[in-house]
Amino acid sequence: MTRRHLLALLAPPMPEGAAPGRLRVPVLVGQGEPANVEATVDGKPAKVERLKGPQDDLLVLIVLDFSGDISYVEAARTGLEAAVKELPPHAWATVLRAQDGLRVLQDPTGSAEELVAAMNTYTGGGKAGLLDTVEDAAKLGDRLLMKTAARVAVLYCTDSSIYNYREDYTNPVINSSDSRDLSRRFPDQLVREKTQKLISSLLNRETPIWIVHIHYRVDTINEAYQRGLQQLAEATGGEAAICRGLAEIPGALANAFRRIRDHWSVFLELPPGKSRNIVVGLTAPDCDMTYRQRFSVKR
Amino acid sequence: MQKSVPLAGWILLLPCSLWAQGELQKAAEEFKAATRELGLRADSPARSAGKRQYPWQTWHGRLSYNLRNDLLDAVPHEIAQRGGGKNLLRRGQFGFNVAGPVIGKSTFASLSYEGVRERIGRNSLRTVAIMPERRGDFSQTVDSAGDPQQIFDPATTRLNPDFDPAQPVSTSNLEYIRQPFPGSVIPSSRLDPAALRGVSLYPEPNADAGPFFRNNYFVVSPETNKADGMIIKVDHTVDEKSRLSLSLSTTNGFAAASRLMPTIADPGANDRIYSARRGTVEHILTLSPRTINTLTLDLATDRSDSSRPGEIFPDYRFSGNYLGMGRANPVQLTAHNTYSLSNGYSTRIGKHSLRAVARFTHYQVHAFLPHYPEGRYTFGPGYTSLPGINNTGYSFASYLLGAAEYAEASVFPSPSYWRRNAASFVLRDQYEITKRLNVNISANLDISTPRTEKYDRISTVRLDVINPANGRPGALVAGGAAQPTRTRPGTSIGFAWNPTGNPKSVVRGGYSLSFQAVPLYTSQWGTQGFNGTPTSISTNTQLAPAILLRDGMPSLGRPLPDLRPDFANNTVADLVEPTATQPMYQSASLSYERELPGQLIVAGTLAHSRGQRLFVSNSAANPNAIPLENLRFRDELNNELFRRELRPYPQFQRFDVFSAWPLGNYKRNAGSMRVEKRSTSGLGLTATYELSRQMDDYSGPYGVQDFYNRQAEWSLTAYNVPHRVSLSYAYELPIGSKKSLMAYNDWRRYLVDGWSISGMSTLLSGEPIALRPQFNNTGGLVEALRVNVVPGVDPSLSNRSPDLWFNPAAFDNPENFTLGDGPRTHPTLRNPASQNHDLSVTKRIAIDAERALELQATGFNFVNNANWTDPDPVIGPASTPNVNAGRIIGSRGGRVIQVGLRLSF
Repeated sequence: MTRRHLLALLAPPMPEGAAPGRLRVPVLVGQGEPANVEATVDGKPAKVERLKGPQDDLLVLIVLDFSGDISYVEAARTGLEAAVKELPPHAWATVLRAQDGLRVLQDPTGSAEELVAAMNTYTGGGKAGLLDTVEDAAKLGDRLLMKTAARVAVLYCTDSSIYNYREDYTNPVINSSDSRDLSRRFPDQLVREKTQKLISSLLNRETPIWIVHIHYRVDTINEAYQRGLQQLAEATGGEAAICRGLAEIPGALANAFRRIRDHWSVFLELPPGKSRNIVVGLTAPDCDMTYRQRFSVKR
Repeated sequence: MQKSVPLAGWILLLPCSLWAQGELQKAAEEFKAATRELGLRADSPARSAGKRQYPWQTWHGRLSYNLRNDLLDAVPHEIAQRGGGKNLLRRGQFGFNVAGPVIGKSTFASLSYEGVRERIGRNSLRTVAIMPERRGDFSQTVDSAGDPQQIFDPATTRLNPDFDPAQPVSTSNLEYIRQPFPGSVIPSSRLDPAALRGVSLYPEPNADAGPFFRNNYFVVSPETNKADGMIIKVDHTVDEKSRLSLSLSTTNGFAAASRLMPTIADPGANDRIYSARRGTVEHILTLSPRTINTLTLDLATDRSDSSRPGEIFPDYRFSGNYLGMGRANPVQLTAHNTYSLSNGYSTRIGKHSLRAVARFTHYQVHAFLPHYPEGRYTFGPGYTSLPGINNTGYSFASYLLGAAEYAEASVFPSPSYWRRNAASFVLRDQYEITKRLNVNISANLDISTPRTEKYDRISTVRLDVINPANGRPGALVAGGAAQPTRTRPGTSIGFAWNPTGNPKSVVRGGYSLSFQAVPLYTSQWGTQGFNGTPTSISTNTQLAPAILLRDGMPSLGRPLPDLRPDFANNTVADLVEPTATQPMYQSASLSYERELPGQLIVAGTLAHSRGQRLFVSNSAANPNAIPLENLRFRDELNNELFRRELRPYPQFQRFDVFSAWPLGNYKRNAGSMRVEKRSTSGLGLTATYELSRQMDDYSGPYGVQDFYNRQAEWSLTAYNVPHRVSLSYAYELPIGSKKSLMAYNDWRRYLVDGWSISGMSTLLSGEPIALRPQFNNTGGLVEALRVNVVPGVDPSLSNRSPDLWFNPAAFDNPENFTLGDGPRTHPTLRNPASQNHDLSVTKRIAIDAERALELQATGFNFVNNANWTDPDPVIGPASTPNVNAGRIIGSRGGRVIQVGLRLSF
């Protein structure tokens, strides 16, 4: 606990809302602290209004998206249970599920028992839901960012296969007799298109998204899907981990929670300009950090 | 560096912390309000009242069109080499997909349609009779060494009074004396009228690829394809624990095959009208968070009507490389129906994840496939040869005389309606022994019933039943299941282990054992007696024809059905393997995978697999083969009456075991490396390399030499590719308004946004070369004679080129009535390697948040690489060598471009 954190705690809450002209940039710090961070927007200096760090309030939106092998699901439950029990008092979490649209399973709470109970009652099964719900989750996160002073992050825990979505992203063969069909030679095009569409949409949002995919699949389309999830998460300032085995799951979840807990949020005042698509630059002495650089903002 | 908080700070912290709790509480309240508004809660007004949304607001989909046209393509190398300027290609592929909720969010539907209209040129380089030959003039005909080909007049045949039976037949010790046709011309009065009718339908030479007059017919003919298909999917959430999904698919089409000749005698494939229907209903019931039950019903039917009405022509086949006439199965009506019901139950107990699956499947195959309704006639050089002397006589000359050495017809009055049932039970346990070690064990039991026929029109030869015609074992029996019901256990075990505790390093291993059930083949095999195959066999192919074309096929002689035990005598009899022995497959693998910094994943795998008692076809199994020690009888073997007595079952010519005789074995060892690179900058790359070696005792283009010595057939698998490299990549170019380069925000962003490329490259080393001798004078005992190896001569060339790919002097044609001592496939000689590179460039234009237009240009073989064709593998004797042996006469391949447009909404 630093003096700065203490003062931050005592300070009145941030003015609500990511009002036009203001931006929250998620920052992941490897070493050091972005205490004296300086910012640019499209190369022009931008005012840093405020910093929020690991000691500030945090709300994690845990979204469960399980539709496959129960051994993987069980490993994920175990990992999630361990991770939520490690959450500090100023970090609350909520549990949602992704099937048939986003649904609340547990309202925000600091009680690990309540969170675990909600996760244990989640039945999963059916169709995968991440791609269909991630925009809603980000939208919900942004609403909370606007209305409260807490840091907000979304964590998806998914075992989804691209073949298990209600909407078709795999371009299946329709005319099996068409032996010279070369349009499916690169079968990942629909997945990549969907990912790009989602990334474009999520660039309008400020909530960072973490994804832990617990069931790595090696076929071409799932490879593209998993790669797309990684791009998608990192475009929002979060991260994705693709677990290639059961043993990797608890560690990946613990790491995701640690990164969420430790992430910073840098509040910028946007300099005047017309551009919707902006590029943010941050520098801080003695601080090794990665941050989200691209945003689409309302002017 | 952080400074620690003094005591005063901690005193202040408590109320601040309480304040913070208040802030999170506020966030929680806001969360509840927001989720209620967004309809994410059970009590959301949006959920209960239902904010009306129109389908165009909630449905997504795409429209697409792909175009290929020869104007965009490179001229294929094989066409350019024959002097052609282009290859016809017109192809349009169009479709749409729409998907969205239909009843609230609980029911979701998706509809996809795709149509194809295609016309594409197919080319083929073949050998046909030269113009003088068509008139019976063989004076310009040469053998493979370029020397004049001698043809002899069978009408002049007489016994040689000076023949010494103690010595082999040779030009100095002829058993029969026969005069050559004067001037190598068959008098027109001797030409068979039916054969001449065939000649009038036979194409004339139009190319000169050589050597000599070989490869003299190049044809480019269009193939058309029209198909329309649809997939409908409905997914319904019944309640929190119960989900139902339905999938229906349908496709209908017409495929007109390319023609090798523009007449009724075309030996090309049939045209085909086809349809397929599939339906799947799946119910998933979540009994508890750790227990799921899945019930699935699958129904599928495929129908095909393959024929050219009014175009049924006898099937004429010429030994050597001549293009034949007519075709087998000119009428093919088939239907496959599969009905499958399965139930899977998954549960978690402690550290065990258990899954039990039971599946029942009923198969139906309906087939009407008369092989040769107008007869099949085989023409060899024997009838116009000097009996016993190689490189004399000519198959086309025998044809012009109308002298077939073998003839067979099919009298199939009715279709066959096959049935088979299968059941399988699988129990799998995934056990987490420790955090670092997981084990998968599964056991399964497969039960498969024998095939039956709906009307009991089923028969086979039984080798334990005495044939009344000769008192020897082997007679036709009719009715009932010819094979027993088989029950086979299978198993698999696998593990995943993190040896160092680092989850980024995984060792995986596995072993599996499985059996293959006897499939339900699409044929009318095993119906003799209900169907008939009148067969004519030459008593000595060098002396007498089996049949003269002008006389036509003899009739069956008996009305059908004829279930007498001797009905299949003197035919190629259908033999169903009586024990229903099932092929056994085993495989084991060990791999190590490690994720390195920079999102680089490296994996290495060692794998071994083997199969025993695999189903092989007639070229690799012949239970009625004459043992090869009988080659000692030399020229006597040309006499069918003598040869027949040497067969284990002399009353039959041979057996048709279809592709269901469990005799094959294979073994494969492989090592592979895979490197994956993932990058959030939009680059994905996977590179794999595999080194493999596969051996077997059955594969190859010619069959086996000795049916009774499988060990002697053990050699490299004919299609084994030892080195295989593949590279696939996708890259979203780092340019555009949301990228690091050229991040324009003005009009230029429409040009630079949304570019990506995908590519795929494959490099394959060549398959082993399977050599074969030019002459096979073994009295019909050996169907796939091998070559001899010349000791001390290196078969490889240091400076190999298409002019000479291997050294043919290292091999020789075996002497008459001897076996070849070379391998079935050569251990070191390989056909040329091949490579292919495909590249796709995509430009995405976002219209708005929901709609986008994608333009694609894909180049298949975009570097326009030409892959060499295989070298000529035929080895002649030193006296008349095949001058083309080891030579490559061309290359193939060419760039094909496809452009596509897709609107997503």
